[in-house]
Amino acid sequence: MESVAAIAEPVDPESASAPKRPKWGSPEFGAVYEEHARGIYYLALRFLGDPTAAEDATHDVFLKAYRKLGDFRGDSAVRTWLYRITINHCQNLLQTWHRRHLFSNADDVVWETAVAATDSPLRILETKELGERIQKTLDALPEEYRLLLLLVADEKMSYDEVAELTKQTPDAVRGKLHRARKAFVAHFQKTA
Amino acid sequence: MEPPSSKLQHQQVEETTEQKQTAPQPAGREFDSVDEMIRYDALQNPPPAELANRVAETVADLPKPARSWWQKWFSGE
Repeated sequence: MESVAAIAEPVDPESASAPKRPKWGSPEFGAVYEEHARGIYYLALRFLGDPTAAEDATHDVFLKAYRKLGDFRGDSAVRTWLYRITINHCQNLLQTWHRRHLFSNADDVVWETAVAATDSPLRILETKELGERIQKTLDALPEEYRLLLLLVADEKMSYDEVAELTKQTPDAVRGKLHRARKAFVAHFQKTA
Repeated sequence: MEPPSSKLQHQQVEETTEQKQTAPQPAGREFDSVDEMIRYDALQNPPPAELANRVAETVADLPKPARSWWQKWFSGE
């Protein structure tokens, strides 16, 4: 019983094994990262279907953003600007992968590293299966539908911002989203 | 927004003996909309913690970019 209790001890975030806090040369840029990294990473993860590629893409997106900080005029929200860089970056990556015919089946590589090490076995199982099914469903949809669903799922994004990012009117976004959601449900049920 | 029949169900496929004894849980999770399901998935997939360090270290090696309007705004200039 003692060993069970020991195993159930929560992980101390301040312990030596906890990741060190990043040292940002620019506190403003650190704040931008903290605010937007989660959304950027998730968009890249489900767009590319590979956690390692998503991690690299997120790294590269923030590097591009850092280099272009001086060009950012504030015509759009920082989040919209970062999403635009992310979408362009991921689309370029996918085009390159398709050209090289190196687009591997994500099933074998994605899920081993997608779940945090501190999750319980039950949590891992649930997350893994749901994530697999969502990825398979998104992969089966046209790229435009996939992108719209991922952008609108971010509650901080307005329809106007999604329309601006995808270069169409808000009404067109609403119409396509309706069809995208129906297509998602139909494909998702097939993955059961 | 979506008809009730389109509710998305994610069934749990396996359950260990220990989980049955110690932590009874619902057999699956039901979502009212596609958006809700994707938001839940996003919460389960945060960026790796070490990625922030990787970005910070790479940025530290780069020359400082020109200050944009919002940096000046942040600093109160």
